[in-house]
Amino acid sequence: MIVESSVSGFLPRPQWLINETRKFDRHRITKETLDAAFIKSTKEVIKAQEDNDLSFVNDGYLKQQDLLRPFTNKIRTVQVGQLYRWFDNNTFYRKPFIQGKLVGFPPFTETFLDLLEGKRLKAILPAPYTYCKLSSNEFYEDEEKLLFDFAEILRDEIEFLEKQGYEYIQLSDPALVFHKTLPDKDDLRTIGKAIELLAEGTNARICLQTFFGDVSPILSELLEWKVDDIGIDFYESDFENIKEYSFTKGVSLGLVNARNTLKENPTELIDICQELLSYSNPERLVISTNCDLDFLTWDTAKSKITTVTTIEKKLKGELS
Amino acid sequence: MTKLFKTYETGSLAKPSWRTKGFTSRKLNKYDLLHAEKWAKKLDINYPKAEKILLGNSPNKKQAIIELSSLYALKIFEKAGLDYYYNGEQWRVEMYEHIIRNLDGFKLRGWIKSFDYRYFKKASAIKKIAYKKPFYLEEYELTKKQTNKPLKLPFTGPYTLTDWTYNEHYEKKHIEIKSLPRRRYEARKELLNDIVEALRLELEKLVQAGVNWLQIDEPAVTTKETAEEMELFTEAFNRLTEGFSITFSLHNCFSNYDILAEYVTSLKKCNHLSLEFAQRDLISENGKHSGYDQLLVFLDNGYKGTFAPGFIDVHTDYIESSKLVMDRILYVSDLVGKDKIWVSPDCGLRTRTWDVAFQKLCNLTEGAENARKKV
Repeated sequence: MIVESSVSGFLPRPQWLINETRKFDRHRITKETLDAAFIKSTKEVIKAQEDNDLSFVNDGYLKQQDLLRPFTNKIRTVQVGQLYRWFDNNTFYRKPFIQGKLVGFPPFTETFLDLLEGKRLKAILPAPYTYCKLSSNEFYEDEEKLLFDFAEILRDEIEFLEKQGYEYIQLSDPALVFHKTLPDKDDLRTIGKAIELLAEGTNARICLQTFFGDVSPILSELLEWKVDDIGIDFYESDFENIKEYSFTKGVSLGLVNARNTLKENPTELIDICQELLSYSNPERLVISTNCDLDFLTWDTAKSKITTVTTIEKKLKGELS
Repeated sequence: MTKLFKTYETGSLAKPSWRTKGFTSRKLNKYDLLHAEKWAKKLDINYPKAEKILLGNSPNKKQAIIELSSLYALKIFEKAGLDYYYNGEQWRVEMYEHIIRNLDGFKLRGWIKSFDYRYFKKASAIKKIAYKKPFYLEEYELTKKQTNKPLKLPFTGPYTLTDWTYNEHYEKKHIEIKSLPRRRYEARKELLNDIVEALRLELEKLVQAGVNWLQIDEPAVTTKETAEEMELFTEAFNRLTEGFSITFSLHNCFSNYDILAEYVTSLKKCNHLSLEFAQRDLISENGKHSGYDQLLVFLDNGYKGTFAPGFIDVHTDYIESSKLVMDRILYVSDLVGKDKIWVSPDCGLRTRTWDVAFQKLCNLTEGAENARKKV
């Protein structure tokens, strides 16, 4: 059994960087000074992941304002809109207003490749359904066409990232399981096809990471999709409803809670992994956080990363 | 005859730089002082006395600065001609943090991203939440001395305090529940209950001190729209207000009103709703302010109380004319009945400068006055 570890999403800005961004917002420092602070802090969050021996490392996405923003800013036909609540959190994103056919060229997301040399890289991108569901569509008469056009944009971005050395691509898809944005059966079939389109031709491993909702009602469909791993938020999905599915893919186990400061008991979470393995035989387990860590301070996030790798190491020990 | 379209402010007003710098012992520059002087003149406040506080070194300087900015806020509201108001929350660092710092059992964790380069501070519940010391009482007693006008005290609600807190202690306590989502829910319920009981002790003191209108601010309500969560909110509201015979109102903004309307009749002691409709009425066509039509959902669900639907947007510097305010009031009066309407901004004005906030409030009261003449 392959056991790996990663963080499923963005990392929080360290408190000193937050101070710098606040100064920038108040015109007290220049953009150059802020950019230098972003590079310094990106190094800091990469190092913390390395020090903890995470299998996959991401650059933290400290500069990126929200999950959707690169695909709002860098597509000419999309305008950045007002603030909307980010699911059931006290945080907000800017809604993309789609006013024309989606066309654009990679790279959309900013990468810090020179800081990431020699590491196994993970990228975090918005899944097509979440992007389209959270946008305001003022152009496409056919929502399906919008979904497929965005999937094509993502396919180009993934191809670009793969060439840059990215091995693991996470498609963050909270809208797929969040109670207010659930797709119906027909939608699900279409979303599955859009995922197939974006995964076409890539050798990178793709994880469809669900969070902020219970995946169990749609898990049987997701297991048919052309992705390598399925990500599950165990603070929203009851293990009892998950364990009896036969996992033919990898599972990204969102066992470490990124929305609470409480330190988890690794033994309890290892028991969940063991119980899952007693029912099913997934291709691999990726121990992870349930969602992005930027709901916590960087200090707490670091200890959560340590918990992720503690579980990974202990589980490997028990399995060997 | 009862006055129609009574006016009030919703809560916070921006803290001037001389208040924030003065409170943190930073040196004031000439612009800070010019601001204090300009507004003192405008509001008939004794500036030499104010300047003495701002530049002095009295051991009570911090307290004196808070009282001074509270006085300025009260005068701004008074000059704008509002019927009910408070002190612009000048005493409070922020609506969440102020209470968290004053109850037992919380630990502040630091800045968390809200959006872009904006952040908020968040705390963990690290032990059983308990009442420690009064947190609104002193400001209420002193504010009462600063004005003769009737006061409406904004009070951060228990559901919002719970929703914005990391729940460590109670999740640890429920470790025996194997299902992680279930454990989270049970722990949340218990945290909420303990916060309610702690807030009741403050409420008791406020009622004894003479508070007769409490506005419970619950911006987090409908963030999680499930029936289970909405029931947590209504139960908390009912328990908080149980046994007190003063006026209670609910302020809720940037929220899903279809959901709120379903539950508002379960709030036993809430007969007044302060809402945020002005920013939903950005495009008014042919005198039709359809942004307000959703108010009918509350009536459809059996709500019989009054509304302050919100007549000015607090998130833009655009200053609504008094005519626009009047047109909106008249439109809403036709919609739900003139006797049900109070006039206020969408929310607190703390993100606007005093210049913008003051002008908006003046147009609000003028719009209400003109609407009174029309009906």
